Amino acid sequence: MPSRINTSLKYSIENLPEKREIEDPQIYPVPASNPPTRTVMAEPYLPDNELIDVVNLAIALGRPLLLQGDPGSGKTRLAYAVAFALGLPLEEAYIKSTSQAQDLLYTYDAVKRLYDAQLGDLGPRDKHGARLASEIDNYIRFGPLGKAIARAQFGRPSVVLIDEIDKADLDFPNDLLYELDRLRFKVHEAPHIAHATESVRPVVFITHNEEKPLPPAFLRRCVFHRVEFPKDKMIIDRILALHDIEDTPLRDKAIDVIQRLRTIDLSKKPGLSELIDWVGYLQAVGLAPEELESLPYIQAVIKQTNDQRRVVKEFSRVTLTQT
Amino acid sequence: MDSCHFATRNKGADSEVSSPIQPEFGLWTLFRQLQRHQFPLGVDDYLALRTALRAGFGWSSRAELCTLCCSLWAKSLAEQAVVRALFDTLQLEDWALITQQSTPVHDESLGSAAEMATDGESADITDGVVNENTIVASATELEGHDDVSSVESGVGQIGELMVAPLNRVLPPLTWRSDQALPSVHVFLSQFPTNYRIVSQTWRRLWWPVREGPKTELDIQGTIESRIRTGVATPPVLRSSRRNRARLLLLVDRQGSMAPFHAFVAEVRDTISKTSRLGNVAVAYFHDVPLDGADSSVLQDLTDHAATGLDPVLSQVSPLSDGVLFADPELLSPLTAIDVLEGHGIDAGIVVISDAGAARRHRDLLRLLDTVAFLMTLKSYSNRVVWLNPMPIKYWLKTTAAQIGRHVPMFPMDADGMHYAVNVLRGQPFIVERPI
Repeated sequence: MPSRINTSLKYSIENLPEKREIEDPQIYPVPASNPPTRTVMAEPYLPDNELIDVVNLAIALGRPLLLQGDPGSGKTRLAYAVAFALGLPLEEAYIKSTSQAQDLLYTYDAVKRLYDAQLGDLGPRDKHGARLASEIDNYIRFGPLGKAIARAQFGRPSVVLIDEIDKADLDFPNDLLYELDRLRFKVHEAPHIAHATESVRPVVFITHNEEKPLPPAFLRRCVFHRVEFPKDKMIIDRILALHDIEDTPLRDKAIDVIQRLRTIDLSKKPGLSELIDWVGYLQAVGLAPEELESLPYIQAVIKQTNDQRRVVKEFSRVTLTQT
Repeated sequence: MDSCHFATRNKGADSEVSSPIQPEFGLWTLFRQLQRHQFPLGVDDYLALRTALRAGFGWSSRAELCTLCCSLWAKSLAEQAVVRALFDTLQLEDWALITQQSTPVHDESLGSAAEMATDGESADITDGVVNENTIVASATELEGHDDVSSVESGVGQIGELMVAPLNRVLPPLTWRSDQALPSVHVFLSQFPTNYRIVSQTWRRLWWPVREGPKTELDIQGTIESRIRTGVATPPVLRSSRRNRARLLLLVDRQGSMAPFHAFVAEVRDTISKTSRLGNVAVAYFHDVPLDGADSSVLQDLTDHAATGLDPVLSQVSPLSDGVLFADPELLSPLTAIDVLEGHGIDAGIVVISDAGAARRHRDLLRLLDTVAFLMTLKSYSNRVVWLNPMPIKYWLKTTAAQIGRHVPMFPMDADGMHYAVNVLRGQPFIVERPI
């Protein structure tokens, strides 16, 4: 772990523009300088002060930030928000159960090379007329972490999002330890391709669904934060306003309903993203705030039949006592 | 130990600071307390905290410092609760901004900060930071902190060692050892095995068979077909491996197993979630899996303490009609035949029960019922093991020892489960008196 403190990047939500020109992460191979840019729209995200501090801590210490929390609490969107705020390209790595750690760094398409070599002189050629199959570089493709390390070697930091890391095999996080620590890798099949970065470190976000525990050696290298549903009504109000929900009475009533829903003992409590989708739909349909008492379109928020029955019973009981 | 190392180096380095006695720095004590609570923390983690303090995090309020400790040292919600509870016992003076004229606080990292606070000259700053660096370098093999030329507070650049603002000193934190801990108790489960050991042990139970649609590339087959024909042939595909190992867990609940409920539940959940088994079925029973064996065979038995049921073993008939339960509260019955036909054929069968070891005496009827049930199991699968949560030294002179003569019985710790999985994988195990 480096003892240097990186103070060049600082995340804050003040004075963010509506859109920005950021380097396009889809361009492959990673250009050494003057990368082409693309327009990125602002990400509507309102972190609380604790989350901003922990993001800055992770950036300063050069460690990955491990985010835990209920589904729909905004773990993944934080990476997008930070990438926009800092003006850095975002590399996304969505982990599946079959993911291998090496795929995050690079993939080598051996079968395609075999095919192209089989065709001999009739095989595909590059723009200079040389056969593609003769150069192994044509079949090596960098993954998100590999591209971020290459870009960092050229002096440009980026944000890497490793989403739902616990979906992968038990050994997946351990395989990533060396690369996340040293930020250098070498392609085994083509040893002349190697990237290492010393001073510029990409900002790594790792989200975790708490389905499986992670190995302690991996946890030690991360900064940990748990993202919770906001408790303050003002903050929820501001978040909804940020997502273009202007109807204020509808907003207030919806927040009231959701806070009451979260006090009921449900097997899955409604999260923030579900709330935003639900209120957005209610506003689009033009529902009046009074009709929210009958919980219209509640299937967007409560996803299990037992929970739905309990909620309807609870709300009808409250209405009875009120009248 | 590391603490002594730190202390001696401190005393040598800080000798020019005129201070009578060095009080303990509270965060180091907190760190050692967490290590004693089985937190996987090393010196690197403490140094990371100091680096974060140098970078300016955790200075503005006590809550911020607590959050900083939680972010770096706690990696789950339960651990956060422990860190917060222990942090609350740190005694703290008024958290106001202490200016340059205050007395320097005595501690390694604060020693350097204090020196900078009181002197404020670049020569001493370099001294202070070099001071810091020698301590840092001796503790771990960090490389690359040679860029200590200029120190600026505020916006720094990558690679510079940023120091906390010059006119602020962290208030002294001491350990409040004479006070009782707050009344909020945080219970952490401490089982004989942990999650990783259980999952890695039970992952070994897999029987890969190539079946299903052909989706995988068979490299060897492709090469061979091309060698045989000599022309470009399409690649040869084969089915991917599927795990055909199946597992049936029969779990004893309530009564003498009540103290082990949480432990057994955790092991069962771990096995269900992390093993690569296709089908983990669980059924529950109380005391004996099935009861009602014909007890007339016991009439001829004289001295069961020595030989158990051996003289009449051939007369015991298998017991198969009875009821097992689908839920841990023993409320939804299932016929035993259904369970065994549905999940037990050719599966690894694990019985998790104390087998009478908790009662500390021999019970002949229990032994009879259990042996009759084991005979039934034999017709469904020949890989049966018994996991006993009671430690092995309590089995002697109880029914558990008697049952252990007929079926492979292992204690429910890491080694026991390892041997159990060996037997389930088909390794022959010699029992004293096979059924």
